[in-house]
Amino acid sequence: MTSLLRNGFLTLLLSLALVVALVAIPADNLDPCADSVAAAATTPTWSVRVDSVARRVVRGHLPCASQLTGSDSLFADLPHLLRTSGALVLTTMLLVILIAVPAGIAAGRDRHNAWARSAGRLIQTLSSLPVIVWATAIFALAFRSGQSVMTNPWVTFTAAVVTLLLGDRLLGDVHDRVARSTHELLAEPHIRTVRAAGFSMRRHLVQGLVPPVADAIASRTLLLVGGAIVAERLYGIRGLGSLVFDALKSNPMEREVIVVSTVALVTLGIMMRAVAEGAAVLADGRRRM
Amino acid sequence: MGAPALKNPEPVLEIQDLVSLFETPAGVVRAVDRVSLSVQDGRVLGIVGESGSGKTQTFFGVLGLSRGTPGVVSGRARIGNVDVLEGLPEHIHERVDSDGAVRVVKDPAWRRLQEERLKGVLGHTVAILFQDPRRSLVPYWTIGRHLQEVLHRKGSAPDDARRGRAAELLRGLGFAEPARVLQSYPEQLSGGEAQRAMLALTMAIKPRVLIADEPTTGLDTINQALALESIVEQHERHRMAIVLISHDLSVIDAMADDVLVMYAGRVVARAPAAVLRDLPDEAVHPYARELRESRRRRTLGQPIVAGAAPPRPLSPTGCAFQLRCELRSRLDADRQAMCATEAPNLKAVTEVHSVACWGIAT
Amino acid sequence: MTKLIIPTAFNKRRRIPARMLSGLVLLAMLIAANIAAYIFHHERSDSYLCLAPSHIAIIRTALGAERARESSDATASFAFGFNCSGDAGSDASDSSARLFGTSPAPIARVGRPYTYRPSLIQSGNTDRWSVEAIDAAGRETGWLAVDPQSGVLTGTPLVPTTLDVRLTAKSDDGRARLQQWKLYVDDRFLLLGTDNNGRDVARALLEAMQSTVLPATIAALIVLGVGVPLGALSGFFGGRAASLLIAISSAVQSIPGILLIALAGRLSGWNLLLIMAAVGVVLLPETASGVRELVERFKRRDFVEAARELGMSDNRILWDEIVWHNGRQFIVERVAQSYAAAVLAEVTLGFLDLTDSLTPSLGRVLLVGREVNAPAMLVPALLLLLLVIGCFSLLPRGFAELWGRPR
Repeated sequence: MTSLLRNGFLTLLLSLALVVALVAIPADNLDPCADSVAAAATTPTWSVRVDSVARRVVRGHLPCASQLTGSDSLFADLPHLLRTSGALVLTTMLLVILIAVPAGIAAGRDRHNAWARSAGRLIQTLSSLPVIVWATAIFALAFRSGQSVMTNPWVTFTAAVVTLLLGDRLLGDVHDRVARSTHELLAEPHIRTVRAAGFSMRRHLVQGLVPPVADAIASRTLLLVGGAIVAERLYGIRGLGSLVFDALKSNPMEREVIVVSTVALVTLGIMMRAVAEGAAVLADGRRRM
Repeated sequence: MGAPALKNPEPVLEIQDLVSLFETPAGVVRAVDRVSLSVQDGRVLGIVGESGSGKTQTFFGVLGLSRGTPGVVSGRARIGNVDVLEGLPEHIHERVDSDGAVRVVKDPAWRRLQEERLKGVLGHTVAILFQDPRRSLVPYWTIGRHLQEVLHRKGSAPDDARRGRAAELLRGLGFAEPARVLQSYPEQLSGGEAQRAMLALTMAIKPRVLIADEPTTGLDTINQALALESIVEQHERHRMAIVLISHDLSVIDAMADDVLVMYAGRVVARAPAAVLRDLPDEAVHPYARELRESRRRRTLGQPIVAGAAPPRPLSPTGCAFQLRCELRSRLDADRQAMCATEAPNLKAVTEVHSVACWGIAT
Repeated sequence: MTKLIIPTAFNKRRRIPARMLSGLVLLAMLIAANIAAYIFHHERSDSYLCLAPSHIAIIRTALGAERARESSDATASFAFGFNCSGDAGSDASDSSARLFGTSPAPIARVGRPYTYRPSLIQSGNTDRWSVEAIDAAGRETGWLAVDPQSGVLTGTPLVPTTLDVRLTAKSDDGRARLQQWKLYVDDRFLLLGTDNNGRDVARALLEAMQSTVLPATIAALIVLGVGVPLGALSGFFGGRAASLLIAISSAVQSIPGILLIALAGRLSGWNLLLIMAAVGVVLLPETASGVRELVERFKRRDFVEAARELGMSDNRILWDEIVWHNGRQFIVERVAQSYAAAVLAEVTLGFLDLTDSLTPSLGRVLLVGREVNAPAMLVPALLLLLLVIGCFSLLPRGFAELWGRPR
């Protein structure tokens, strides 16, 4: 548990420091929501900006309403946005587990199984295309069906999930790792003991595969969060990711929104990773988190 | 070890004319070539031979414990009352591809059929003591978990009783702190401790036959002795049949009632241990003779057995040992020619001693 | 698998695997396209390629003229990064001044039908439409006709020319609303044709190539020049540096990379080279960790001890024996991945409409193609993208075969 907590804390600290330091660089226009110091004619120093951004984030209030959210409260919308982004990430991850894990196990168990090989090839081929390509294809399909179809929130959510699932090798990588782990597990000497002692091979396989599968998922979780924020922007889904990108594009840049959204996204990723690692610990008592 | 009174003269394990094939990049290898053996209750059968002689594959192929694509293509194997190979060879066949390559092909039904046959055999009638016990135990189960799994399957005693029984098994095998061992993972045990823990697992199964595959490999001398002592003790207590597989004739000599010598997948000699020990050189198969000599040569720093193992796949004709055989050069031309062209079958020299060699009078 | 046998300078016959050859050919083509993009970008700056028609909608009332200026969407107009001089139209933020809901295409092609369907924000029942198209010599052209009731403009130009077009909608109460623009009629041969606004797709793609392979080299250099040595040294010599690297790597990898890259882009004013550098920095921890794990695994092997016994220095063991002989495949894969990731990141930012519209970008071509649903733009742009990814997928596999490890 301790190393996860330590890593999580260090990550949050670093992300906070990184984002605050970056957004505090005096860059463009004067902030119309500036406090009295920053509203002075001279460009405020970086330390003043850090201070003002940090104070606003901690207080959770802006001196005036955000142009993006229409609210002066930084945290009012947060639960809803986090739910949307979280739903996108979790749904995708669930589908990855339901598709890639059984296919990977089948491929790893019997490399001569024609069905498993074909399924594996299909998964690898489909997932070798980047998110952009899938998004473009989906938009082209949607255009043919009538542009109004993309205004339906369920359609856009499904489109986003499909894009994430198929793009950037998420499905392919997890399938590959599960297949390799299954093959390696079955080649381990202790598998003979399991057979020879009459233990349930199926149960043992499941328990033996939980740690590598959890590792595969944990390693892709944060990439998935990154993909999700791109998908939100692509499909106009109102989540943390689209908010961050809107804030990046805004003029002047709404730094506080970026800080809060980034930290929330990172926390989401860390929590999901913790769940995956927790599953690995449950399956293998030798692990220390 | 003295010959005990037989509980049951019927063999508890019997293999007849077993042929098992491996597919390798260089071609098809006959890992086991017409091997027949049997072992009765309470008897210890020792199988000796160098690496690659097929002594392990004889049993692992029958019991579905081999990796890769070995297939039992013919033969019978009975364990207890179960014919474990019934119907299986029909699902394996050789196929010659268009490029002339020979492939061993299994039907999809093969695996399911084998699992059906072995249900009730593995982990019930048969238990196996593997070499390299630290790697052979499940790395993420404690020793206690291993034993609990078996004991749970054996009976419906409550948890406490099973824990007590597990501790008792470990105590019986010389563990002074069973509680510590029960909580330990295999990687936390020494080689000798892991071997004895594995033996405890096999004892929990209460098998009719124990197959001990190279039980002393990788252990230091003291732990080798401890491991063998434990096996002997369990054998004397439970009177189960034991198949002891080793490349070391001294281990076989110390423990076995009957000895089978294997070379290149074939049985080349069979005799009771005491008989094999005392036979004159000219009556013993040349390979078995080399093995007997190897103990003496080891102390003098000489090669254990002269020559190298034959290349696999084997040429289809002739005796497998001919290239390393000292006896062959002393045979007449006719018998030398037979060594080159025809593999000798096992023939009785005496009532209890059989040998597969053209150079020994039968 | 076919192999090409090429004699080398040392008179040894080396076999270049087919995958490697394909990858190298692709890479050469992409670099050539990249260089061509730089050359042609500076060479030509035809004003009529500035796709920013400024059109003016004017209300004339009985009491006098009220002028309202509106321009087409500046973002879409500058999608292909042409740096245009001249008036691109004023801000369109005054919503009361919007009279027309549509913008006409500024380019027409000789021999191809030109159509424009105007739409008034507030149309009257009895609007009557008329059109006037005057060429540079002041002559009115006859090929452009308007439907008096719907206002739909149609016609097929026969010669290349530049026209000042004025479309008027008059209502019964005497109000007249006008839309006027410059219409360029050209007859150039366009390899991939145009989109629905008459923009040259091939030219747009060529311009977009500026932001692909060559700039991505920055990311690759950061990964190779910083990530590999960092990982190797920390893995071999260990100590606090290794622990710090693990902690920082784990922390930085927790932040979505695209976010960091977008942030860097925004703060740099969407400077392409800084975006590429940000990609390299984002990939740095993963590369360093990977190299560190590899070096740690190999430094425990017997051959390292044997090398020390032979008197080899630690530096030579690390760089020659471990990194070069055992780590080169991994490093090649990471470098290739950094190229692909850099190009993909740039395309993603453009596709998300995050970059400056003046920056040439394959992503912006895709974005515009998607918005106007122009397969003529989408398909070639996607193919180009797949070629880039394919190139950097083939090269590591080719190296693997060359160095003897089948993939």
